[in-house]
Amino acid sequence: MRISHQTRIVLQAFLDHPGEELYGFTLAEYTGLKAGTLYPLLQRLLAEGWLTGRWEAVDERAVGRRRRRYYRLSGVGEGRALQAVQKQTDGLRQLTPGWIG
Amino acid sequence: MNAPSPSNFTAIAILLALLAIVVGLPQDVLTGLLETGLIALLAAELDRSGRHVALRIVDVVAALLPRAQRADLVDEWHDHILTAGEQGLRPVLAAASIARAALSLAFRYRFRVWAAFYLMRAFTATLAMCLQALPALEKRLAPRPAFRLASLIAALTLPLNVVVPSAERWPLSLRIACAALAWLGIDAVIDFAIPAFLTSVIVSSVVGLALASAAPSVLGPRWMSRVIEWVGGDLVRAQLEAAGHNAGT
Repeated sequence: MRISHQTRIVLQAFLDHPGEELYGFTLAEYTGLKAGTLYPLLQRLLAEGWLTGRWEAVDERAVGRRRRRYYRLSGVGEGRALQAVQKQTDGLRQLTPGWIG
Repeated sequence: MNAPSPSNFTAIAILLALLAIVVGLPQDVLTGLLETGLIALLAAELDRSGRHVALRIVDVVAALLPRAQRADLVDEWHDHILTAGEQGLRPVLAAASIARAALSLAFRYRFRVWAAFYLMRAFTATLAMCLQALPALEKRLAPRPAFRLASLIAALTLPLNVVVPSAERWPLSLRIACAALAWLGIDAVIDFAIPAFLTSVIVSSVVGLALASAAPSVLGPRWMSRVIEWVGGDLVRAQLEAAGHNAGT
């Protein structure tokens, strides 16, 4: 799968919140991505098996809002995400030797 | 802070207009006042019902998606807009961004599958056609032109046989006509129907939403009739007078 800059940002958001389930709006806040960019990306990561998603089991009327779909990195996705982010860090390290520890 | 109600703006705009008429302000000033009032009205309405408009935009664009994915994605997008809790233009801009996502997903889910299916068919048909054409090429120097012609026609109509297996039993002229029509149809769909359909969906959604969401709820039927009277009153009156004059003579 091609890893774009936006994909890396989303993966980084998941890595920054390990073990946490995130839903669309919080991801948009963490990453600063627009909804139009974020949701197709999430669908692609889901389809490729990088993410797992589950629907919140709530009574929408009781909580007064729509049900949410929570995403988290899958086991495979976590390894790939670390690789993708590491690759970028290595690239930056080569560009700016000594700046990144 | 709650947005001022559109009816307050309407009342203020009408009062100002009446005052301007009583005072005898010039036509330009009067028009300027009314235009300002209408723009303020629209802005107030957008501020009040921006979130509602955004949800409707999401509902409309979601229709492009396949049914299997539609409900889940609509729930997710509605939650995004409602959780943001914003008013005015912001949710509408978020909805516009989501509309872009919907188009991209619709392309991925619908068009790619459709294109892959037909490309596969076209590929199979072309392959079969090439295999069939090989003997025809080999017999290029054959002494019987009629035989070569039959091979050529068979090669051209073979894709039809692949797509519709029962076509082998059809008369030759019908098969040739169908093959020609199919090619013309595919050309027309690719060149005209798909772009025209997509353009008409986008244009009619945007125009329809703008009209449906703005005019009636902003003005209400009573004020709509007054606006019509204001915009076209002189014209209507002139027509009625002319009709009366004609009837009199």
